[in-house]
Amino acid sequence: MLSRRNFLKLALFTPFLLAKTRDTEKSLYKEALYYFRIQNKKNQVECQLCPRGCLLGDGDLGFCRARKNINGRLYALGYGAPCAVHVDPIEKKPFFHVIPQSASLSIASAGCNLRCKFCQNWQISQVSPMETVNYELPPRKVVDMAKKMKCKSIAYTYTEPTNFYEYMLDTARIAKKEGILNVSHTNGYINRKPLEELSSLIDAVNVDLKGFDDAFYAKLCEANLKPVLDTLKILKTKGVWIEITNLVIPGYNDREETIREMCIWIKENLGEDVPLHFTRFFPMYLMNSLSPTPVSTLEKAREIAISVGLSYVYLGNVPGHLGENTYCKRCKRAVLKRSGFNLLENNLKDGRCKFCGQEIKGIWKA
Amino acid sequence: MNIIQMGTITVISTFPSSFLHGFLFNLAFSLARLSQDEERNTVGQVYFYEMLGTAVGGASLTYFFIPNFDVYWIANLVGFVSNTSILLTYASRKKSSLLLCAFFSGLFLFLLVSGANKKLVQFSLKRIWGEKEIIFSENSMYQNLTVIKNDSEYTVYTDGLPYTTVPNPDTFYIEEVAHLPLLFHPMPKQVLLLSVPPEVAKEVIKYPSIERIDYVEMDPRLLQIVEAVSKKGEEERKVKIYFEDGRHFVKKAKHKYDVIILGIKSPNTLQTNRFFTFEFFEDVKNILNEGGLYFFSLPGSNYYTQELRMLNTSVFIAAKETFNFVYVLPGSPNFFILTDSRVDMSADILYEKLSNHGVSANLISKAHLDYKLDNRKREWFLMQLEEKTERKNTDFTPFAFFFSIAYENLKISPVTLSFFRNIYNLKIEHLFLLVLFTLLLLVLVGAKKGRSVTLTFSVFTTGLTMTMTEVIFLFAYQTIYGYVLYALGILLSAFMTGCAGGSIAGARIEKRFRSFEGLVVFEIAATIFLLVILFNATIFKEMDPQSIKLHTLFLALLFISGFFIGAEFTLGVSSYLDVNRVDQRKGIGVIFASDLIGGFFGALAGSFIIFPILGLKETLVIIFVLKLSSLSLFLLIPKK
Repeated sequence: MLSRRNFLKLALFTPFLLAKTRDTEKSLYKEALYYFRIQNKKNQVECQLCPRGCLLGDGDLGFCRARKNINGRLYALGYGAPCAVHVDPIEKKPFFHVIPQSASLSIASAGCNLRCKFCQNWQISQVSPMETVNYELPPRKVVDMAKKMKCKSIAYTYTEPTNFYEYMLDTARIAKKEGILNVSHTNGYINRKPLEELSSLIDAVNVDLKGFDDAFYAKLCEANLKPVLDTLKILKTKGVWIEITNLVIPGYNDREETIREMCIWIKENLGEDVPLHFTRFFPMYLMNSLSPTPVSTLEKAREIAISVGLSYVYLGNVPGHLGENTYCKRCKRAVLKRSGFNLLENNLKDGRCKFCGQEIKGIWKA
Repeated sequence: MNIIQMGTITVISTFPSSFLHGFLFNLAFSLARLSQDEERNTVGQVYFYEMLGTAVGGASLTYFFIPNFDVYWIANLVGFVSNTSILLTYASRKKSSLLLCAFFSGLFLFLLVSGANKKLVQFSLKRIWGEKEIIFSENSMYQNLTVIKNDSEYTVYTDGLPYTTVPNPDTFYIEEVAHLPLLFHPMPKQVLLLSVPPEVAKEVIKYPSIERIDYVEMDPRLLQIVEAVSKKGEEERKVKIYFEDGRHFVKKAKHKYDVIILGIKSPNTLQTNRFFTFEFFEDVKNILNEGGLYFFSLPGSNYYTQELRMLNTSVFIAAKETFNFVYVLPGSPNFFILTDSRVDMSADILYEKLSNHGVSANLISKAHLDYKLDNRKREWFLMQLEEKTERKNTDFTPFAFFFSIAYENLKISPVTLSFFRNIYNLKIEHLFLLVLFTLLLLVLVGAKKGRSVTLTFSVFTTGLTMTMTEVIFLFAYQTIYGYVLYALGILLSAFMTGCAGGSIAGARIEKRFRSFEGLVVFEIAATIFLLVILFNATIFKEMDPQSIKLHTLFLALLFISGFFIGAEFTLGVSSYLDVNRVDQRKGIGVIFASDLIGGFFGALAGSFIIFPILGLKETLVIIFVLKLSSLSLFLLIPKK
């Protein structure tokens, strides 16, 4: 007789039949692509995936907890073993200029190369893949699942996709062949070479530009700003569609001057058509005693961004606010009306404003 | 703040006074001995006055000082009274020490009358809240309430955590909590709101079909404060507000409701756990109309850690045993819908209802409903639940409370993870083995050292078991009444008065009979007392919470628990001196330490590990077994 769980798997949850819990640590490993062995030092390696450049002795885990030195070889943990697999509207990532209201198969393996005190996925970002319960989902099966679930894209998200770089790369390669978009939400903390290799496969990237000064990155994320800015510039050069998210945390990164500087930098380096999402902070993780961002602060930030010349500036986590809509930069009418993750009205025709014909930059077709 | 930080702060803040307390006990004994003819009774007397002082101090602090004065003023008063009393008592002694006392006495008096305490309060608030603009901060009967102004918004904090923000609250939470349950019901007319933020009521009012909204909030100050910083709409006056505990309201409600919505987000205290238990679900079921539903939220995530899994599972099991249908809309948070009638989970139908009601919302749309009601997500959630467990969340097996704390700790103190995960699997058999092992060890040691082992262990276990019962009574009180902080003064006073009374009784018995026999009698009585409690553990549930009988019962039980500690301490000291013929101060030191160490472990293990994991019944069993083990030592270890 079938147990409740098996019945559910068979009758109701068919797509996830593909996903089984991993039971051996060993099967999580795949040799990492970017690292080198240190000369004259037995079994020591240097990871070259992200700017941290972790030096790892035999048996050591990287700062991200997702890479491990085993007998002088660096292995990526969590390969083909995501701990989170969900289908979300693409607006949840958030992508506002990529096939609106389409479903995105979202996957993540555990770990992160930053230590943000406001992380909303801390349950999986602050642990190693060896500590989470994972699905067995090799790249081919991810793509099959995306097709089966009618997802237009595969999103590498929730945790930092750089941690499961090899898994993302192999999946993206197959997905691209099958006509499925590859999108990722990243902190942008990655080195040039791996990023360039990834850029040939990835269609859209939402980069968390968490603040615009080193002090903020150092204090709240244990990181630096420059590598993130470099990532944005490389992505632009490689022609990857970029959207930027800036979580506005009251008292930490909400200075108007800093926001202005950030917007000017975006316009000058990435162009005026890069969508910028100012997101409302709510008490989270280690910053759970902070007040939510006042909506007026977000509105001021949006005003600054528009005054600087950015065309598509959004407010996030404020459902029903007009700042969630996409406005045509020529006729100023709402082309895409939204509330939360939901599209309420679509006035886009072949990537152009239905009212005046102005092109709205983005990826509107798979 | 994590458990390690909490423990450190507790030690730092209580150690100096506790250290002095213990130090003064021995000092007071030495001083009292100088003016007493009979030395042994002196111990009982000093203990009596110590406990009496603690009882009076606890009660007056809770009911008089804290409601009327701030902590700095009270601390200054204590400093002034202590120093002045030394001056008055030892006016003829060493002058340099007295000058120091006089200086401090004057300093505290100056601080008392100069109003410096107010500046200290402001300074302390500044330290806690930093540069934030504090509009208001006070301690209500239930919690600390603070309002912070941030640009044009006000955030109301309860015990340091944001409760709601006006005029722009968390729209996701407010709209989902208000609209989803109303849309699931065919035609909601009677609605009960339990401890929801006022913004939820504002959304509920929008439904024209609703005839009655009863809004229950335990803390009147909370609602007054939120109203003070909000603009009150005319339509809100339609809502009937009750300032009382939601649990009591449901228990004695005369009306029946179509929809009951709970605004408490997590069972992370025993007070809040009461709204997620099997017993409460049964009460809720009794006041739901046919087709009615109970809606509440629990923490959720994209990924389920063991703690989150167990937290949701324990509540799910309790819900499943009470209602025919339990639907869960997973997310962060998860929304639970408990009902005896099948609910239509079609986004189309729900959206049509929203339109038919003529209600507009910012977030709730057809697409949003599609997303929230996604069948795959709901089934995925069911797969996250723990199958191999029978841990049902009840009032007296508060698993959800324990796992909420464990989940919070995972966030702020991952280093404690392995500790928590190890104690998840604690079973009563483990504790039986521990008691048995200890007993065997003591029998072996006792064979060499004789009855001093028995005496020390009996005082230790009395301290341990009676403190555990004290903790359990306090937990039971909180579970039944919904608060304990406000009553803590009177409850602890009952316990301390019991200690004082016990020490007098011990001293009297010691005068008339032999201390050792007296101690054995109290050991037997304590074991019987624990057995009686064990077999009547459900009495708290059966009695009317509002009745004076139940209040009296709590006070009586706490008094008796303390009584055993006081009596056994006094008799323990005498017996120890009889058996060992050692210096009296050493004897007192050994027995006092046994008593306190027992109390320390009782409070720690009882509150933190045993009760939340094993629940009331099994905890009482282990307490009884512990006391029985110390009683059995009197038989197992012969007199030397």
